[in-house]
Amino acid sequence: MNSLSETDAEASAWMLAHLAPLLVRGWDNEYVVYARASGDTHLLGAAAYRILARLQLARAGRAALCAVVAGACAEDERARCAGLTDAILTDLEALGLIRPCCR
Amino acid sequence: MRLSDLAPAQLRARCHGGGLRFRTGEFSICLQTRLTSVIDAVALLYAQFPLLDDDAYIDFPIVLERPRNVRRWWRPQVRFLVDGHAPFQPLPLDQAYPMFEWGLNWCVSAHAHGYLMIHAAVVEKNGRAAILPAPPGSGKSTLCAALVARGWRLLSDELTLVRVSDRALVALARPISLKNQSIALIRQFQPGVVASRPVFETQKGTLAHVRPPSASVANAGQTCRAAWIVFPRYEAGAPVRLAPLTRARAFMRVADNCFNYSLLGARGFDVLGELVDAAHCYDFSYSTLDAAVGAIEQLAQAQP
Repeated sequence: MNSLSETDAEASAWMLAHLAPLLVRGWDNEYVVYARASGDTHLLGAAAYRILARLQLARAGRAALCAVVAGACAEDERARCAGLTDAILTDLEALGLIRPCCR
Repeated sequence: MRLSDLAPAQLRARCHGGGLRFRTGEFSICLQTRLTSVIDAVALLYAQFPLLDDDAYIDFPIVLERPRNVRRWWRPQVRFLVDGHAPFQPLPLDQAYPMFEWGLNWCVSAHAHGYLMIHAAVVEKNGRAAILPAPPGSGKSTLCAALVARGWRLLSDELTLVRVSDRALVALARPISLKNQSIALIRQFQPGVVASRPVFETQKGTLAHVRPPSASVANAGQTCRAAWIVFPRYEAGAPVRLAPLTRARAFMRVADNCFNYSLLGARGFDVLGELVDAAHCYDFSYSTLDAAVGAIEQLAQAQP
């Protein structure tokens, strides 16, 4: 049982796509992020930046990342946090910044 | 010694012979050509530029010549060579002088990677600079010419150079390139402005170049810091409007207007980050030059 639940957790966990640290500058809750691996620069909102900052520390599961996003959301937006987190994870993966741990 | 100190025959002899050696901003040029239209335009527009000694190091040895082919007699052309290489296809002979300016822009933008190079005009007053990045057709050079006519120092109408080592803005004060209706507009805005004869039917339409003010050429060695990043857009009939722009969005737009941001990699990110960090950023729309210059002046006074 233990090993199954660890696999489940691993399947929904995320990590940075590359080891090279991201360069970040932020102003007024908007952030520009330079990915050394690709040479691309991205404009991110506060919630997406928080997810990246969390993943720079260590890989994390969806629930932990939802909690991070909740911290960046207004009170009345918290109910939508799970959906918002999923959307941001999809976007960050498409940008080549993060990837699921199991892949 | 400046170009204007040479008699016309001396200037011509240098161009025909070993080359006319002069400095523009941080760059040294040696120009060899027998084309009268180029020699006349250089004499007019670069009159205040400093001459260099015969043994001075030359960054860009430039030759403008007529290719030795059948086109010599039928629809004659001009060819631009730098260091013996021709980076472009020849152009109609009438466009020899614009080709010199375009070619020189290319020389700088393709080689000067000690700078973050932004496709932007840049002008300065009281030690603080306004950077005007914009795509062609947005009125960037026209607004730049108007600001320079009202006392702002010209650093460049085309290439903003941010020195990577210390983030200083470095001047490249050269003739201001005007297109189409902008030529008459600036002649009206600044009666007596010195400009080259218009060249018609270039790839950019009709072109003329305005001589940079003597003070801008003389003070080309003075660096300055960016205080404003303003994205100008000419809109017929629009009221003048300065709309604040977040720094992160300004960063992305300036990066899009850079020649070598990607090439500089993480250093480009750092340089641009510091540039944007120190500047107030705006979207700017206008339809008349008087109102536009007034709005930029007000901005400079309101944010001393």
